[in-house]
Amino acid sequence: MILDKDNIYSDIEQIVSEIGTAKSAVIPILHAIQKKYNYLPEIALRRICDTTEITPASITGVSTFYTQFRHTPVGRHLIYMCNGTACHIKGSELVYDAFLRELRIKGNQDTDPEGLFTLQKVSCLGCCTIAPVVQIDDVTYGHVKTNSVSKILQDFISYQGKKVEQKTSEKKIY
Amino acid sequence: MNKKHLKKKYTEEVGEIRIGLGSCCVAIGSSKVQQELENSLVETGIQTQVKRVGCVGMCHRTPLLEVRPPNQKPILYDKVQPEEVKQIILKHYKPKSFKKRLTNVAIGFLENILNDNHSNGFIHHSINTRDPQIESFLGRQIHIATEYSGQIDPLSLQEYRSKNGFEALKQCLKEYSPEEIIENIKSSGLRGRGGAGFPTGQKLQIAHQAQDEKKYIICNGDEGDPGAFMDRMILESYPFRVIEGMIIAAFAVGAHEGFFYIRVEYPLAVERVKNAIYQCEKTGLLGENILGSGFSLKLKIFEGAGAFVCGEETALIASIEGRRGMPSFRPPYPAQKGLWGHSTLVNNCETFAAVPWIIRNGAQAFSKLGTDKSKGTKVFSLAGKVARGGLIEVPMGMTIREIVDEIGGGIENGRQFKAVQIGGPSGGCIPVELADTKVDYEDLTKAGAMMGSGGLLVMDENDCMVDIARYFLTFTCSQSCGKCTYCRIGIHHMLTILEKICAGKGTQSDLQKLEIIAHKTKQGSLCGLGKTAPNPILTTLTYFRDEYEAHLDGICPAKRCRDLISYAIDDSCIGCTICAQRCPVNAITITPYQKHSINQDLCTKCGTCKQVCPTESVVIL
Ligand SMILES: Cc1cc2nc3c(=O)[nH]c(=O)nc-3n(C[C@H](O)[C@H](O)[C@H](O)COP(=O)(O)O)c2cc1C
Ligand code: FES
Repeated sequence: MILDKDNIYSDIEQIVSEIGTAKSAVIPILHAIQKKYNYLPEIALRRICDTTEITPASITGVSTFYTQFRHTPVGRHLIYMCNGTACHIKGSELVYDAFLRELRIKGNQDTDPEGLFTLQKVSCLGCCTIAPVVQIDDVTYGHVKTNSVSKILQDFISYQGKKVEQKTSEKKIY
Repeated sequence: MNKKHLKKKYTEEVGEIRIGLGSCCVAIGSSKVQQELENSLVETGIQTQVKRVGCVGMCHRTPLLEVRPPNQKPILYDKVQPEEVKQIILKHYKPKSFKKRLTNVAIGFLENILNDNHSNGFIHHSINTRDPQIESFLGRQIHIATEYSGQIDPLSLQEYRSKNGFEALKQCLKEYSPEEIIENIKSSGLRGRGGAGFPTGQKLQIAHQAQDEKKYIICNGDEGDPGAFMDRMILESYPFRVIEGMIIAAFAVGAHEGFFYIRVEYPLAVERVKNAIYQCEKTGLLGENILGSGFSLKLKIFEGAGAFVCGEETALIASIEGRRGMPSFRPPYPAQKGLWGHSTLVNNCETFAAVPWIIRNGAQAFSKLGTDKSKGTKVFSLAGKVARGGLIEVPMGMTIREIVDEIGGGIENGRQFKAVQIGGPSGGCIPVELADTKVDYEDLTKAGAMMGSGGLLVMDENDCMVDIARYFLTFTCSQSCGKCTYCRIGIHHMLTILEKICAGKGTQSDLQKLEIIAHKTKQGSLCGLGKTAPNPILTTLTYFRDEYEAHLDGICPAKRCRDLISYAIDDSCIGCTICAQRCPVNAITITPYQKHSINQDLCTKCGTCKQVCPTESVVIL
């Protein structure tokens, strides 16, 4: 996705016209921006402040308070590793480490070097009976073990491959 | 593809096939099964109705497929694989045309030859609903909020209505005054299912009496407890029931506008509620002049943004207003002064879901169930180390042991029952010695835990209680909104101490410090988050002090805390090299046919070797 200013401005215009310009619209607007770009680009946030009643203080306050909002770009796919209680007692910590290793994510980062996957811990995906659970974009995997991590990534990529083939018959890299 | 016959209505002749499409089912692959089912029906020309149903509750056995052939007993298949679907339907239905029947026989025959697993391919999965296991899972349950569990299509308004749906609403709008409804709810003894258990009738009354020309109603579906999923299942499986309960409550208090506050992590729930609201608006159940009564109500959805504290009602209101979700001091309660300064009724979705049942069956029928002070039923999400997890609804007053043993089928893999964690981060751990505690607001609080929203997590001997306390404190520490000093700093400080203990560096004085700070935090916090965050520590310190003390000596009895354990390979090793191949850090040298050993300097204790070892030769020391 190319983030050029004009594109962003026209996206913002559309989002604001759908949701509204009131101060109370801030959370729905942030959701809409994040749905669009997978994170909150600063220039989009500035534009919101210019075109609505929302102040920079309010948008910064709100977007940093809620854990759902991200201020840094993400990889092409998001991996939500459940860190809920049920998953925790079934060893989700070890699975998380296995994903870090498998994707070669180092240090304080959360995205692999190729920019393909971003790994994020979330609390409870609501499928606790099949813990540990991991969700990649919209695909959920249950009963995940440390040694099934690479299989899951492969499965997901082939699933994506199929989706892409169906849509554009374009070959998938990786 | 011709799918017309799939839409055929249920009649005795065609029967129906039900497929569970709750979140757990979908996660394990029921949408693939559904697809396969539809394809197979088209292919074979079999006429039947396919019906998607909400959560069946037996999440441990998903995907579920229930075949109800005409004039035969229904049969439930569990753990259905897409490949098995065709065999299952051919077992109960005959393909339509002779030619198709012939090719199907031929294909079946070929498949038999090619796939020798066939004979036990699916038959062992089929379960009769009178199977003793299923019977004990379902037997003691009473479905009120989850009425018709596994039987109705979540999004079929027509079906909901055919099962007495919206009857209660009609009755309320036509026959009852708001005061009568409130009286009815009061005498049913219904208490809030969101955690604190505030009497619902009383809350309705406060909101009803508030002198305010504008009032709001909010359904709390934030479900922040990181290990509970009943609100999700209720919203996904019974959206019309929650809406009906909300309209009745809105009528009783005089609210004309309302919100569903739903976690953004629950996309399916958001989608289904949205769809249900739309259908209700189309058919005059929502909007202006509902059912010709002159009463009007508009409902909207507001998606949360991932903050546990927003489940707290004042924080939730701040969030809808577009502010940081910080709780404010009560009183005034939201029922007096809430959203944008107006009287606002906030209730949990399970509370609303119980309302139509109470109106239809009478307050007495509800208050007959349960204990002295806790009436009716409670939905729990049963998970953890239990053999049969799922969404269950039981009468109040059932003991924890009955739930775990009878409904849950005991601990999985025959291990020892150690404790249950009830109430999430605000609750506590109840040890097996107290497993006869009743599910009742007061009894659970007495035991140091809390009803909470209804997460019930079962733990076995392999779970370390200090680690559980540390886990919850990590959670509450990250979720504290930072307003109160004790909550912000006290929780952080307790977490630091717990981390020290888990690393084997704790001292006796740390335990005392923990207790002191825990009590101070309880007293010094404004909202329920800080008031209850110390509960996991206090209960584990009371019931499992020996485990804390073992950690002071550098031993984790459950062999869980990474800093206190090491992996080793015992003499039963056959030298197969699988562990060495799989070790991500090459801590095991590949030595075929010789006993392997682990280089402790390299080992990161990831546990992979233990998982892959075919002879269970990897042990934790
Ligand atoms: C930290 C905290 C988290 C809460 N989370 C929830 C929640 O996830 N769902 C809920 O219904 N109530 C939650 N509550 C309780 C609400 O504040 C409120 O009491 C409840 O929604 C009222 O509905 P009820 O009377 O039907 O229980 C929470 C309270 C606190 C203090
Ligand atoms: S705890 Fe992981 S899905 Fe609920």
